[in-house]
Amino acid sequence: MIRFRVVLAFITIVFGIIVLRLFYWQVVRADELTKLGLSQYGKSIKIEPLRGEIKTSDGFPIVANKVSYLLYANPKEVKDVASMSYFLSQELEMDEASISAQLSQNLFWVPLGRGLESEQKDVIEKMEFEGVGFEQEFQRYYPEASMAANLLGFVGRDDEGNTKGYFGVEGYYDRLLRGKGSSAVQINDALGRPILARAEGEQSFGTDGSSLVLNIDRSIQYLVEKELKDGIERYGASGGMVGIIEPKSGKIIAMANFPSFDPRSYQIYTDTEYKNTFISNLYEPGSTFKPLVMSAAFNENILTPVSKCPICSGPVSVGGYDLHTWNDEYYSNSTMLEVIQHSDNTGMVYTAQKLGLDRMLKYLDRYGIGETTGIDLEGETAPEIKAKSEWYEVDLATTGFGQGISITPIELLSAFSSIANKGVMMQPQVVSAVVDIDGDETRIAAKKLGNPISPETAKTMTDVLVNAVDKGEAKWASLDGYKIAGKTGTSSIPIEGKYDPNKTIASFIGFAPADNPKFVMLVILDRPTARIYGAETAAPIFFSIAQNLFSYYGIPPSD
Amino acid sequence: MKKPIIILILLFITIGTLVVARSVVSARITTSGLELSQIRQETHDLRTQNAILREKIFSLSSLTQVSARAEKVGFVESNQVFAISGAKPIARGE
Repeated sequence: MIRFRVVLAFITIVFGIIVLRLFYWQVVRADELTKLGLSQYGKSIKIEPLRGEIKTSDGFPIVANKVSYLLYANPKEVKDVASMSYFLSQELEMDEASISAQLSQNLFWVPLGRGLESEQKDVIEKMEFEGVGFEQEFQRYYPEASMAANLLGFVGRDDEGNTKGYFGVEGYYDRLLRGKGSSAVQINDALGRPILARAEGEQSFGTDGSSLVLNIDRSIQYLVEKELKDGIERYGASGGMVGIIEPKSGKIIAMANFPSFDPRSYQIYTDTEYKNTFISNLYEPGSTFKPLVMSAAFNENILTPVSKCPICSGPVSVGGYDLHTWNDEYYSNSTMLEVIQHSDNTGMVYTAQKLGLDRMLKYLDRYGIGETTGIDLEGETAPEIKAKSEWYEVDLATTGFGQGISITPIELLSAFSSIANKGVMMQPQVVSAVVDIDGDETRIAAKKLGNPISPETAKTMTDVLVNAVDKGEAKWASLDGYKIAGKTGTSSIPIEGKYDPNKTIASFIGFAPADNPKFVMLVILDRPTARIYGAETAAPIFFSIAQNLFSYYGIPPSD
Repeated sequence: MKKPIIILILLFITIGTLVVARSVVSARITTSGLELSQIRQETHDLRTQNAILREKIFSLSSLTQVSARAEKVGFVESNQVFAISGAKPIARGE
């Protein structure tokens, strides 16, 4: 009986131990052992989607993908660390010590270099180093080098090492461009031959990113960048920008910034070089803002082009400040047509005062001033217009001639284009279509932002601006035979509460042909030194680009 | 008594057929896996070659390259633009 009980107890204990052990394997270490099991009959493969291309309006990929290689090593298999480090440092133009440090780590896998060209890979392979391998990957490639770099943005890596678009088009459309990645398990048979592959936690193997077609015209972009660069050098400016929009659709045809950057090596640049100043830099627009204020007064039927200015015979005193004209020349009883023609600040003070604060704020809102335009680029900013209670009498007066108010160039371009488009303001749009991997194209429709002014006011304002080009201070640069509407601008730069008299932002905004506008263009030069006025610097750049655009579009002179 | 024997024979034949079929399918899947892997490798190589060739085409047809080459071979930018237009009619008949 005792023997029977001993045997029973022994069997029960053994059974209990087995149950406990099974519980440990099946429950406690289940995840770990499942992974171990998977690794024995297959290996996990990360499927990296191919990032979509970005094409200009002619279908040319301004941003494409190129094959590159990641060089890695297994330090445990490397025999001669010193000679290998030396060779790779020469070939990859890297620090020898950092390669040597990587190879001395007690690891099975260390990365040595990324973005290697296939020629570099061939050279390294010929050396037949042990413990070295390559992983193929795709890298961003820019056939037109740094063309439109500030508009396009760049591709870097996020905290988890995945590719991610930053700024501009790359940042705004990142989710569409990058596609959907996945991981799969490659199952092998007993001899290690592949049998099947299946996605892990996904129904598909992921998808490549969609491509984008831009409204940007490559030829115009090239021309604009060349003209802007030449202009900056000629006038000794510290920077500059040009934006061109098609007023009827809001399509952005070209957008250039200088200084710019090389997107292939974005790491060596700072924020100031890779941000798109056209959508993110705040500046006081100066006289290029006058047409917006004047058209508001026309639209409210407060003034007409022949209304006389009774306060234009000398400087105007407002709220304890004396407001002068840009050249201290005064024209008593000048008409509103002449106020714009002479770019008369006192005339604009009169206009702003006639308009009053309520209507000024109403039209700033209608023109979208103080709000982002919604352009499809990452990084757009817009400062809010201060509350009505914070406006002083002098603020209203100076806003009339574009000082004391900060906006972005895209805000001005967007608002001004409504004058060229019968009073209809369109949303600026950089991308025209999204093409998925099956080739299906989704067009992005033009979007109307509002009607700040009536078609009649737009027509009147156009005539006033044509007169400003034909008879204003920039007439020396204008083009014979073409009807161009435009306005110069020279704004002072506020530094520590004061305006620096020698540092200016020179600009010119206009559209052509005035009767049926094909483009609206804004040219801005930052701190030109050779000459400081918009009429002497930005205007010639505007007209030079406009002349090329007339040839490009086949628009003959009207006279 | 004959019926159970026939049923047993039929069952054995069915089992045998299924075993053979399973072996054939398994063998085919294994081979297909290998072929699939080869095709995938081939696709990968072609994709790589395609990407390299595309890169060359884009590089050679970029405006930056074309204008630099045009300048090198002696092309100059024309500064004179002229438009040819017909004489305006005396009466338009409007």
